[in-house]
Formats: sequence, structure tokens, C-alpha cells
Amino acid sequence: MIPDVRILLMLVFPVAAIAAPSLNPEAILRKVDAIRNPSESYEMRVRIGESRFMAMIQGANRTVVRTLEPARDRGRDLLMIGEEMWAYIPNLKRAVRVSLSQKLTGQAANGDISRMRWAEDYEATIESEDEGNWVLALGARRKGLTYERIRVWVARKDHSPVRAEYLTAAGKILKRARFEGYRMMAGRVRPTRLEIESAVNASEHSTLEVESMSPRSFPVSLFNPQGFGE
Amino acid sequence: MSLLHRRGTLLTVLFLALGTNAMGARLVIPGLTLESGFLVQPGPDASILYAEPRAKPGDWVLSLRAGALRVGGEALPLAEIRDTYYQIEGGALRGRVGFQSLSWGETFGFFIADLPNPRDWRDPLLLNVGFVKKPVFMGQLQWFGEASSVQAFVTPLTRHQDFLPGVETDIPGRRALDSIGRDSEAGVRASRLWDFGLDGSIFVISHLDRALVLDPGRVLSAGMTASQAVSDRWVVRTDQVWTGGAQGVDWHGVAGLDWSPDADLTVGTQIQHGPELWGASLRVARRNVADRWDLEAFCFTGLGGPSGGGSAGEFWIQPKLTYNTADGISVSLRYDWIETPGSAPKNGFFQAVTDSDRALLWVAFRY
Repeated sequence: MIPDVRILLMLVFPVAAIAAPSLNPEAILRKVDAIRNPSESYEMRVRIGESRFMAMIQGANRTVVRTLEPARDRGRDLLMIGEEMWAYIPNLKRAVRVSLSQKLTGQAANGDISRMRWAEDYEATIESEDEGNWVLALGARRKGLTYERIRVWVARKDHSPVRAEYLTAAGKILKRARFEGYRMMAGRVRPTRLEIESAVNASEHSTLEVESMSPRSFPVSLFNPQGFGE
Repeated sequence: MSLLHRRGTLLTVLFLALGTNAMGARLVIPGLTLESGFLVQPGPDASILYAEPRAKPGDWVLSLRAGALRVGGEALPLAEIRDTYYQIEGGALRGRVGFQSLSWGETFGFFIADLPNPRDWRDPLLLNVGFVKKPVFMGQLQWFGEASSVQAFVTPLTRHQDFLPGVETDIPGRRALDSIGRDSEAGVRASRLWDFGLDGSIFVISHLDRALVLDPGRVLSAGMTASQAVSDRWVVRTDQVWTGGAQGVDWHGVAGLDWSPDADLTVGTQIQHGPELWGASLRVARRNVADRWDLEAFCFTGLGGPSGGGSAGEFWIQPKLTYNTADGISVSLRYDWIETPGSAPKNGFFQAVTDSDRALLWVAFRY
């Protein structure tokens, strides 16, 4: 009896055998990004608990977050360029530099809204895989990112993100997230709900709901501290 | 005896404000933004009542202020053009022509690099930067690059700073600003965000002297502003300005450090220096206390100066308490406790305002 070649391969090279037909991890990650981002430049409305935001996203690292709710924070828009952040102060009529600790709300960090493209920020390797998912290990390409390491489960059938773990550089899990609520939005099926919970205290969790996404072009001045908010 | 009744010169102000800029109501519909508001400041010295509607039809921004100023029982009309300009934006360029306000600088409380606009010092109570900045007619061109920008402006005729009647007549050499060239101002600023996080600007501006009590002689100012986030909790900021005129070169500077251990707490310190005036300031802001309260305090003290200048002994403590309701209404109470050496305002930081203690209460609704 001639053994199934695939079984032999799995016994000798368990990962390689399964990974053989797969894409390389960077390509997988780019496909994941394409599911999470409708275009290079777009507007996204997000709800996190009682708070609502409008995020204007340009490329990999430029985001303006406008608070819609709660009403008390309206007008205090945030500009993020890479890992730098400014808050527009209406009374001063200018943007003021703020530190990254000025996070948005609850377990959701600025990076959960502003850094929607992982491929630009992280180097990917396939950590493991099973019949349904690839498990990608993402390592930050540079310092200062909201999360230094991410482990992402990606569905093999359509490259959609399933869940993720956000880790410290040493590998300690900070948060866990699930990508849910897949439905048509901006031309294709995308996750519209991100359930984030603290790995330290499971009672601390946030739900990030994407209410809408739409491709949109923005003036260059919007993403510059000297033009932002005026 | 409570702090509020410590002195007989207590002024209580009811300030009703509507809107995101805390000075008006804002209505946004596609292609048009309308803002309006009013301010009432009763007091023994002066009171102000005004409306400031603002609209953004298409590429235009239109804003006017109309009202009245009462000083010593005499009412004066208050009517002026605020930010009113036409804007063209395409690619990396943005041009604006009309009455405009520019905002330069990185520091808080004292805005030494914020030179392009003269000031309206007639409001003796509020010390609101948005209120005191006087828009001037100018042409402005900005270029925005990936990590840099250049801004240039020219003002054919600048405007005088405004003071309360009585103060104004004491300014030596005050004259009409009606000669293009002699009374023009121009400036340029270049900014860059470096990869390691430094956001820096350098600028040069030829302008009329904005020192409060000097005649409007021409000076040339050059300066730099910079800010940098250090780790995810600290921000360092500084403004430095050198101003040269007929009387030599003055150097003013402010340097500050902010610490934010979390999203709701910020502690900022600053030290500032000038030829005669030195001072230190502290700002503490705590938001979302018990999910409803915002606590804030600003404190300044004059440290004197190399020549034993006039700011020694001055101090200003400004606690502020805000209660936020869930539906956008907030009630704020601010108290200003100001001390100057002697019985009258001195030739220091506070000479443009009364040295009286004061309290301000205002209600805001943001929608």
C-alpha cells in the first residue's frame, strides 16, 4: 500500500506540508488589510460603548479622529501621524502636542482605530496553522507602535481576520480581540465589530463597532499639524 | 472667611455659552456652518455683550462680532469683522485672502510666539485667546509636504491693539496705521516633523511692536517653536523669540514639560524668561472624576528678573471646576485669585487686566 504523500509530508514536515499551498505571510497580511480597509483614503464611523468617533484615514499612518459622542468632547479632534499625536483646542485655534497616553476610551486604544493597516507596521511570519486558520505572528517593524507584537488568526478560506492577541515584546498577552459582525460594507464583506478584552482582567472589555465606511479624499492640510483643525 | 469673599472686589459673572468653541452655538448643515453666541459680563468696570455669527458657505469663511461694551457707565458699540476670508486649496497648496487669525507657538498661558495678530485687551475678565486675538486682513499661502510645511503671510495694513478707554489714551506715540509699507507686516514660518518625533518650526516676522505700552515702532522677530513626545507619557515644548528694534534685541522664551500618566490626567509645568520678566506656571487637569467632573487648576508666579523686574511677587491661581451632564450640558465655575505687589496693577504680566479677584460661572451646551 502506498501511503498518501501528504500524510508522509505531514509526519516529516508538519508545517511545511500544510503551508505549501498557502501564500507567504506578508501577502496574507496584505489581504487581511484589504478586508479591513476599503481604500487608501476613507472615512469610518465607529462606536465604542457610549462614545462615537469619525475617523478620517489616509494611507498607513495618518488619521484624524473626530469625537461625535460624548458631546463634551466635541471639537477636541485628534491628529495622529505615525506615533505622534496632536489635539486641536478650539479656544486656542491650534493643535497642541499630546502624549500617546491620551487614548480614546476603555480597552480600545488609538491604534485600534488609527492603525488599520498591519502590513505597513509589522513583519509577519506564520506561527502555526490548522485546517481553518493561519496563525500569523506580527512583530513591530519599529518602536512606538501601540502593540509590539500581535498574533492573528486568519481564515484560510477568505483571508478574513478571526481573532487576535496583542502582546508585549516579551510575549505577555495584554489584550484579546475577536473580529465579528461580518457584513457588506463599502463594497465587500468586512468585520464590523471588534470585541476587545483585557488579558489581565476579563471584566474589562470594549466593543468597537464600525457603523460605516466610505472611500473619501481629504485635503493634504488635514493631516498636517499646521493645517489640521482650522 | 471663604476664598470667594476674601476681597471686596469680587466680580461674579454669568457667562452663557453654546457650542463647541465654548463661545457660541454651532449648526452644521452640508456646505454651511453657522455659529453664534453671546457673553454677558457685568462688573463695576466694564461689561460686554456681543454676538459672533460665523458661516462657512463653500470656500468662504464669514464671521462678524456685534455688540456693546460698557465702561464706567458709557456704552460703546462693538462691531468688527472677525475671521472672514476666501480659501483656495489644491494639491499641496492652500491660499487664503481676507481677515484671518494665525496661531503660532507650542506653549500655554502666555503666547510669546503668537505674533501675527494684534490683541483686543478690552475684555478685562475672560483672558480667552480666541476672544482677544484680532483678525487682520492678509494674504496667506501654505505649502504642505509629507512631513513639513511652509507658511507665508503679508498684511498690507495691520491694526492697533485695543485697550479700554483711558488706557488707550495713555499710549505714547499712538497714531493711525494707514500707510501701506510703513504699517505692513509680513512673516514666514517653516515647520518639520522629524522621524524621531520632534515637531519644530522656525519663523521670522517683520511687525509693529506689540509690547503693551510702547509706540508702534517696527521690529523684526525671529524664533523657534518645538515639541516632542518622550515615551508615551511626556511632552516637552518650547517657544523662543528674539525681537530686534531700535532699542536692541530682547530674548523671550517659554519651556514646558507635560506629564500624562493616563488619558484623564495632565500635569504641565512651564518656566518663562524675558529681559525683565521671569515666571513659572503649573497646570493640572483631571478629567472624568466620578464620570462627571473635570478639575483644572492653573497657577502662575512671577519670579522677578535680571533687573529686578516688575513681575516679582505677582501670582495668579485659577482653579476651575466643571460638571458634565450626559446630554452635553456642562456647568463650569472658575475663580481667579490674582495678587500684584502694591495696590495697583504693576508693570508686569497682569498690567492689561484688573488685579481684582473674580469668579466666572458658565453653562455650555454642545450639540
